[in-house]
Amino acid sequence: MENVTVCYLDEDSMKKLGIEEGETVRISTKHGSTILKALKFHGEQPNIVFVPYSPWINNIVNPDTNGVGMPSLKGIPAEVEPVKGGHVLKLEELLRGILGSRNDGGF
Amino acid sequence: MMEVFKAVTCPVCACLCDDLEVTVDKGKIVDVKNGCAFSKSKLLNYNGKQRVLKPLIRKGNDFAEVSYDEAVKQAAKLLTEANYPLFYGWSMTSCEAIRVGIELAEEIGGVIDTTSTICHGPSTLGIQDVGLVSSTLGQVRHRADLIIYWGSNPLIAHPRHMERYTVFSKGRFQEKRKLVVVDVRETETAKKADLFIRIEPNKDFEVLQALRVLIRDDELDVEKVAGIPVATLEKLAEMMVECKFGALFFGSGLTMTEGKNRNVDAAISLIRDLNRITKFIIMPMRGHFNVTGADMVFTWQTGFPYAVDFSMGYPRYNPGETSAIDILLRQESDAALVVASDPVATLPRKAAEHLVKNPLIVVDPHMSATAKLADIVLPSTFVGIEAKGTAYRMDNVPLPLKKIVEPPTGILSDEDILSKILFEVRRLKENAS
Ligand code: SF4
Repeated sequence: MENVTVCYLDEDSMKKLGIEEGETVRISTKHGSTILKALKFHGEQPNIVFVPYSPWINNIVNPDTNGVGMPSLKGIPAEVEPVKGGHVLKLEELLRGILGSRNDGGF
Repeated sequence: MMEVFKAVTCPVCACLCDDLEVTVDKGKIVDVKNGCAFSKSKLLNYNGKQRVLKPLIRKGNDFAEVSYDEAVKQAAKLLTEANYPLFYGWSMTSCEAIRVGIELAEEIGGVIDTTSTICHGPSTLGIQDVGLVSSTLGQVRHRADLIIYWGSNPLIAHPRHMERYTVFSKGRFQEKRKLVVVDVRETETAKKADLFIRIEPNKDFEVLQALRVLIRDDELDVEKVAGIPVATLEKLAEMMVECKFGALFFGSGLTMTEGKNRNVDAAISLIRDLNRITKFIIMPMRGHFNVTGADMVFTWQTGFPYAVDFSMGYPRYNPGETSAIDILLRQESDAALVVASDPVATLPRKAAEHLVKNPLIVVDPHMSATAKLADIVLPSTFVGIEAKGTAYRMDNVPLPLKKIVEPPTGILSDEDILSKILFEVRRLKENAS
């Protein structure tokens, strides 16, 4: 699951935000936040954080479908900040979180 | 004895490359020729640790192994007892299985939706609004001299698209082509482009409309659109007008951002305008290998391509109301059957949370994230590897999926499992009446 628990920032954004390659960062949107490992994107991508689609980010996307059935999964305003030694959730921890929403608090 | 299967269709992405050569030794795939890394990874590793080999029913925190008959009986009971069950997934199975799934949704009176709903659903809406000028990928390969990828990164997501159908392919009438990439980031595909246009996020609609003005030779009285100098857009407009056969492929960069179906609307309108001047086609870069087939089967069986609601006894289609995410966000479904998809991993969290509150039945070869949270798991074969069937390529061309190896003993196909559930549902309904 290593390859989906990462996000990509270009060199300029990393410098501006004081983020080292491989360091953990918190990505927050108005829908939620998540912690992922930051990697350098080798190309132009100013002011954009690119995140592979996965359960690690499905709490920060915009679920609103604007009445057409499709949530906004890209182009979402977000803040990125370095979090030294942040904990990237394990898949089991994530799933337990989702399951916790069952009325019986799980199985 | 080694056996080599030729012209095997790859069951991974909607390019459906049908030129794989797969070597089988003692019932096991040992080599794959012509496939990309995704294809090799699936065909060589599909039978891994995560494979489910027995039907499972949840008992507290654990699963208990049961027979197919028992799991089918329980699944049919959960579905018939529900008022508004959701049947979701379908993009990674055969058309034959999808056909049975629709029959089941109709029999029960639930809602059936495909993964299009969180991918190219807006493309379908755009196409329904303004139509579509398109062609097969073969025509693009043999004739196109200008290729545009918009909000799509095929080198990563559809690794052989460029090699088989566009810039790296040699066509009968056209060997060299120009490549334009429009994206918010300089992707791997963008790095190969003759012209790369980096636009600001959520501004595709503005750029597409600006291009519609420019190809008519009208002037824009601004200096920049979405951060792009008008001179750059003029250059693209000129390339579009001057080509003999252009092809625009668009990805989820158009459908998942602000504007959604309106972006697709604008893109198709641009291509329609261009056809007054030259030949141009447009095509969505569909993702999973049979998501196009799901649209097809849905349309010929119900009249609608996805998000079909049978709760009134006849098919209704109103994305935004009858689409899976809206139903889950409104917390309306009271049971769910997930086939060949992993919604817990892909839906927005709030939608996934309601999904797992429902009695949840999963038909999947793997212990996916969704299967881990299910009440009943029915293991199935991998279509295109262990079961045959039909799938549709992204250009709406149907291709056969082959059976290359035997499935693990006793494992049934999606089609067989769904037929058994349908049979049991009918039996329960008959008994009740
Ligand atoms: S491009 Fe898609 S269909 Fe073709 S080999 Fe790769 S994964 Fe398979």
